[in-house]
Amino acid sequence: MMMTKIIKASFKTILAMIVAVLLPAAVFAQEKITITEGTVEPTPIAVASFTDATGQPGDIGRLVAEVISNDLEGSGQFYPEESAYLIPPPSDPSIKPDFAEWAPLGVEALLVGSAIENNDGMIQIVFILWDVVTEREIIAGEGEVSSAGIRRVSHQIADLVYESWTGDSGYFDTRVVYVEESGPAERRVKRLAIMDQDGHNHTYLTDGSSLVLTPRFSPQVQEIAYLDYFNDDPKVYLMNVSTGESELLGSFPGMTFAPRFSYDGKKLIMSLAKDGLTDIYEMDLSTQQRRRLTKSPSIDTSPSYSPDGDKIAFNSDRAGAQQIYVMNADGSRVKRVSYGKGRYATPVWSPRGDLIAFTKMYKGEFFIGVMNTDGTGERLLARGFLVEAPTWAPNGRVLMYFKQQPTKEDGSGGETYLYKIDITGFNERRIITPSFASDPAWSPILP
Amino acid sequence: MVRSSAVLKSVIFHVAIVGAFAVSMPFLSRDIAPEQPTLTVDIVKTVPKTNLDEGVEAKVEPKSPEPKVEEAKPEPPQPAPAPPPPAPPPAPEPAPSEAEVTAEAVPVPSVKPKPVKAPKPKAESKPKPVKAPPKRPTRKSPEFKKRQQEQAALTSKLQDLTERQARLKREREEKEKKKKAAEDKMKKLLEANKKKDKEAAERKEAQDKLDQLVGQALNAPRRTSSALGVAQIDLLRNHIAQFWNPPAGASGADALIVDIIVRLNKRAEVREVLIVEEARMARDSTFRAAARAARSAVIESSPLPLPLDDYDKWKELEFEFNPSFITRN
Repeated sequence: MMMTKIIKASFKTILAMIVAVLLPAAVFAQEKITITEGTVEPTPIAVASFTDATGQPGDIGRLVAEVISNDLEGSGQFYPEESAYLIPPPSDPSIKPDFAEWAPLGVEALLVGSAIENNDGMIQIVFILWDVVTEREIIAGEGEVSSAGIRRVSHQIADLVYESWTGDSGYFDTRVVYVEESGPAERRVKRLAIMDQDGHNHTYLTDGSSLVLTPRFSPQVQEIAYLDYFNDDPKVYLMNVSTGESELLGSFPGMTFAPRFSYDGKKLIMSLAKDGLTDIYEMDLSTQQRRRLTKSPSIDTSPSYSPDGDKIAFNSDRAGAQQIYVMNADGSRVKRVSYGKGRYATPVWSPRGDLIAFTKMYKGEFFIGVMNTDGTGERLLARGFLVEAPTWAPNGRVLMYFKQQPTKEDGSGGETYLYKIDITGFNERRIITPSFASDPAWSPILP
Repeated sequence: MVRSSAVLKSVIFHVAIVGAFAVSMPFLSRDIAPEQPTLTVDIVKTVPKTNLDEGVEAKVEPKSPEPKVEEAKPEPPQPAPAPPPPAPPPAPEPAPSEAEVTAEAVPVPSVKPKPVKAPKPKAESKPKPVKAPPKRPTRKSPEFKKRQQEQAALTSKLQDLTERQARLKREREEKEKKKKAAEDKMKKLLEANKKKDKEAAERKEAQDKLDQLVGQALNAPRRTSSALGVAQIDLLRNHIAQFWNPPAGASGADALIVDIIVRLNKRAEVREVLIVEEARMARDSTFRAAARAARSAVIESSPLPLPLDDYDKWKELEFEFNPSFITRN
């Protein structure tokens, strides 16, 4: 009897032990289903016209929706659904949309808002971005603006939509300075011009009396460094965009060119050609003291700082053909990073620090491409007869550059236009300018 | 005939031998002593003189900020973590300096901890002179003798009374003792019964729990995919992949893995989507975008291609959305 009890007890104990061992495996074995493939494509979005005081889409509201749509589409991350205008938006953004009406369009996001003019002439803007699939509010905001600021506030809303949906920083509330070209090819007049990144609000900064080249925006403030052939003496100047005033940066024996700011805006780096040698110099903008960084019999030019200021990318023909090199900010540890076929030039370090944009010449064609900072992962994004001067949007996801058409025997042709493309290599878009355009430079986000 | 007698002789002979063996071997009927358990003895070569040495050594922590107990120094004052509105009671230890309190006190900007003032020691009271006991009279008068005799008689009576009282008291105490013993016994009995009942209840509860767990382990639906076949999982993957459009532009977007738990109804329609790292969404805009894309993918892909008759196998599923393919291609 006793033995039977012991056996029973032992059996229970053993069973309990087996269960204890097996149970965690059975209950907590979280074998997840891993999804490793997806589709990367622009998010279909409906940007409804903003409503006015009557609860209907008004002129201002339509303009706001148009500016936002263009911005989002130009980023390559969104696909605004054109037929969205067929669906009447809620009369007020505070009313939750009827998603059953919007979902059939296939849109994943819906932006609704109102733009109502007050008695004092100011316009009250309210907006809400909805996730159509989950019917959740993603972001909402409001503000007041004069009629002159409608486009700008629209860019700011587009930035917020972009940021909240992609998790990345926006870049729509920015400007671009470029060289506007007019007149026949043999007597081309070149002027500095500035405009919003979408080509609107165009203004000239110089009068065309002297040749200007390679404008570069400061990454921190609204200042431009550029090359001016004033009195046929090419020198680097610094212009305050707000006042339009320029000052000569130092006085160097020889020709200075290809200026570019450091990312903190405190230094300027450029090339100086003297006695048949072209080397890279750095200038402290507060003291205007310069420091020579390269000393080689080759042509070292197009320097560009890394965002942390520790490195400088430049191109040099020290190995024969033009290639891209990276060195420490003090000029030490020069290392070649481009090893692909063809010639490489105009390296521009991304504001994010992860990529270097460049120009490549190969088999009679020009390319704009990006590579990792060690030279790996080269990707060519755009090509043409002449494609030059890549400049980064402040979020480091979009590039702008110019393309030149070939000149014909009769002297015609040679047109130059600005384009932008996102770094996935899709969605190349031309920026409409009043005349021919080259050498674009992207500003930081406006203050 | 001769043969049968020989057999008889042989039988008698063998019976005799067996009988003699049985008589001469008494140990066979003796009880066997129970087996003694084996004792294991460890031979200790070095024995500490006292346990105290080891005990003190074990308490020593090199990084301990506490002052050693053995040290004669006074313990540093511990400022109160958050001084209560009324002034803290005066500590018996030396009062901390203001600097010390300010440095270690929990930051409560509006309330500055006041330095605790040490209680002023009271002036020592002077010992009172002890009065000398009154001196006994040395002279004995006849009145005194008489009174002494009366006193003796009274004392005797009192003694009798006292003894009687003491006896009664003893008897009462014994009774009480017996009563208490009986009560204690009853109490112990009740407690023992209670304990037994409690143990029985605990055993039952434990058994029920065990049964429940075994049942869950063997029969309960599992929210794992291990119950689904490889082909079903592949079908599910391919289906959801069509609807998954992760944000590709953000920095490090290819490394943003999102885990989600999906609860489904019996028609394989998505009933609920939970982001495992929900809290991260509030502080990380890039993750928020990635989580939104994963959530949308699952909702858009509803109903999921699952065998409807095996609901228990997939009523809750966990997915990992790994967007490394963004930079792989």
